[in-house]
Amino acid sequence: MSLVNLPTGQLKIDYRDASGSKGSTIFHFPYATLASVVVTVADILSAALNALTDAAVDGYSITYTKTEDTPATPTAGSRVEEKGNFIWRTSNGRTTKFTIPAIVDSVLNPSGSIDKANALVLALVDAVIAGDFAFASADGSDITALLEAYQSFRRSTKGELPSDR
Amino acid sequence: MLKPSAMVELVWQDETGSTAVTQLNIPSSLTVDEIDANATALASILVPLTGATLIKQRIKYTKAPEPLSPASDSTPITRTGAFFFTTGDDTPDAVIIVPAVKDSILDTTFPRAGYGIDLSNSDVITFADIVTLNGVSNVFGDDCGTLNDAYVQSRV
Repeated sequence: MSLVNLPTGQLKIDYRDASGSKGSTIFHFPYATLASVVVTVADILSAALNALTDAAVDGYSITYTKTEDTPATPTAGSRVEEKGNFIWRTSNGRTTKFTIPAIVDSVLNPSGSIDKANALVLALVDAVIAGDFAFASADGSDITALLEAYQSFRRSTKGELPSDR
Repeated sequence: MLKPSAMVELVWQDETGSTAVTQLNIPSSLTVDEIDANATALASILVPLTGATLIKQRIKYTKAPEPLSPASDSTPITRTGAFFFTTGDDTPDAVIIVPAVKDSILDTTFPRAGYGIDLSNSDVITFADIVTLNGVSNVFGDDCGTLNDAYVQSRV
């Protein structure tokens, strides 16, 4: 049971035509290729593509994907619509957030807030704030404290409704 | 220039097969291996907090936005050019799709006039050289060789 990388990473160059419609070109490269190398090639390719297309090149993204070769069995009754929201204070005084889908009931208070004294939550907070992780906010600011944590539910999509309804 | 933060996406699947994503930011100055190590370590802490199971991990670097330039004319994004690169005798071709291809790179002589892309066009040659000389591959990781053919496809 482990995450296994795909054979290739993906470079996606984005375009926009005069009507505002968007499109893209997908390139692949061997997974072991350094991101810094792909960035250099992406800049060269973007310039070359400008000569081939009437659309405007808006930018690009580079993605490395791993997939679980033998996924574990989800807990009975788990639903990704049930989120654990973790709002964090950052060093520049702003906030950043991530969610944990299908948050386990054992870390919830009756109100729907998340029990910040729970051992699993404390382990998460310690790891994010005091650990060696490099996770930060989108602007690069360090995460310094857990500000809020609570359960919420998002609307189910049609595909997520029970098939035997 | 890349955005200051790369994105880590952890994809979770619940009992019904539905999926959702945990998104985290991490400095884009880190290598894929460094980010991967962070993601793996964090995932091991998140697993006991969720009833869903981890099925996928993505690391995404994004170019910083620049002022948007206007598209040059009314060529629709759906009129694409399909460029076929050989990757070897026993491996599948790589197909690269370019939206809104310019009229100026199309063949003008029978029998490919109007749909074939002129493989001798200097801009096409430049593009093909960049693809073949810079480690671009097909989806299986086989390096792109020569540009074998290219023509217009409508993707309506």
